[in-house]
Amino acid sequence: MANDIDSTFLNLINANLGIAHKIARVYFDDPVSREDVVQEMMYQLWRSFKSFDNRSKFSTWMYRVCLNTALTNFAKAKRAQPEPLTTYHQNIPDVESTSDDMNTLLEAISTLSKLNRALVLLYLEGMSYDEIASVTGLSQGNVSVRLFRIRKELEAFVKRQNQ
Amino acid sequence: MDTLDEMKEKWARHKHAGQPYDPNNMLRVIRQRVRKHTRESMKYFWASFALQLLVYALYAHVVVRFLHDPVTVTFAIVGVLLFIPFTYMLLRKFKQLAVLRPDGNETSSVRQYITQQRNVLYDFFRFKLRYELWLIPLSTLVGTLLVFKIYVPGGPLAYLNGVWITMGLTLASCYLAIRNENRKSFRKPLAELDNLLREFAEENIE
Repeated sequence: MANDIDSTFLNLINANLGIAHKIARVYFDDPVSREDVVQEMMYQLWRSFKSFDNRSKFSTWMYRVCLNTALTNFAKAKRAQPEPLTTYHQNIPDVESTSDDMNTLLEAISTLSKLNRALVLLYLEGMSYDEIASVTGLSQGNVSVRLFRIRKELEAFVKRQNQ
Repeated sequence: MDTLDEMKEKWARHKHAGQPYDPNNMLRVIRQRVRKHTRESMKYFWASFALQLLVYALYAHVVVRFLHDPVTVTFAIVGVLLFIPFTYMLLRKFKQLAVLRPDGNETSSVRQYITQQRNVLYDFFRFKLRYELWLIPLSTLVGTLLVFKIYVPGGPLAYLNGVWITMGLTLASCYLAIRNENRKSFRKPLAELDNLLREFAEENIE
């Protein structure tokens, strides 16, 4: 049955797995919801993989699908039912081990609106304004103005935390 | 760490990934999600299907039992005819909603997907609201009249106040059940999607 999983798909997912975890980290506070949404992302990626035809980078496509899933999964995640621990849960990254700087940054990002969180995430990933505009559906000018404001907001937050 | 560029460097150095998936792990995750989605879809499907079956069985029974009484048979047929298009459209639109994917289409953006998701959900909700607006009062009226015609000596005309009270109570309980279902399954998710789209629409932020 394990043959049902395309090895190309699996290799691409494993090479870009950080994308799913980063998005989950930015949108969901508690580890159970985070794990739930990462699993949902894997499922949606698997379902949509046949429509991926290499016109864009795999990582860009994965960002799109994962963001779509995270942004429309918020209501469902709150209703997530507890399930028994399995060995799979051992793979959940340990949040507490995140450094202070990274925690401050994640805390700062969590104060932003949902759309602005997506923008800053894509920016931190090193995407150009053009790529961010293409993934989100905003105009390039709008991305630029929003990121300018986000930058000010985040820097002010981090400064306050450092004082 | 003061500037966004410094944050970007920290971000790049930080390891976010969990353990890689092997084929068995991935297959287990996919099976779990398929089961979860099927369970959620089927919950709605079976609830709706069971209601339709009950309604059709009840009206069919009435038609067979009171075949000699044209008024009763007419009421029962009207009841069946009310539900047939609703059942068909409900299941068709529900399928549309259930198969919606987060779009692997490489040319579509997050904004397009959220718009699509919102439109499909809104379309289903609007259909449900409109249909319920006249289906529930009409089917309640038909049901109440049938109950009084079959079980109350003298029929509905002899107990008009009783008919109105029964109808009122039935409508009130239907209203409460539908209102709660709509709030949980439609109004809240739609409000959240609308908020997101409003944020996207703030183009004049420039």
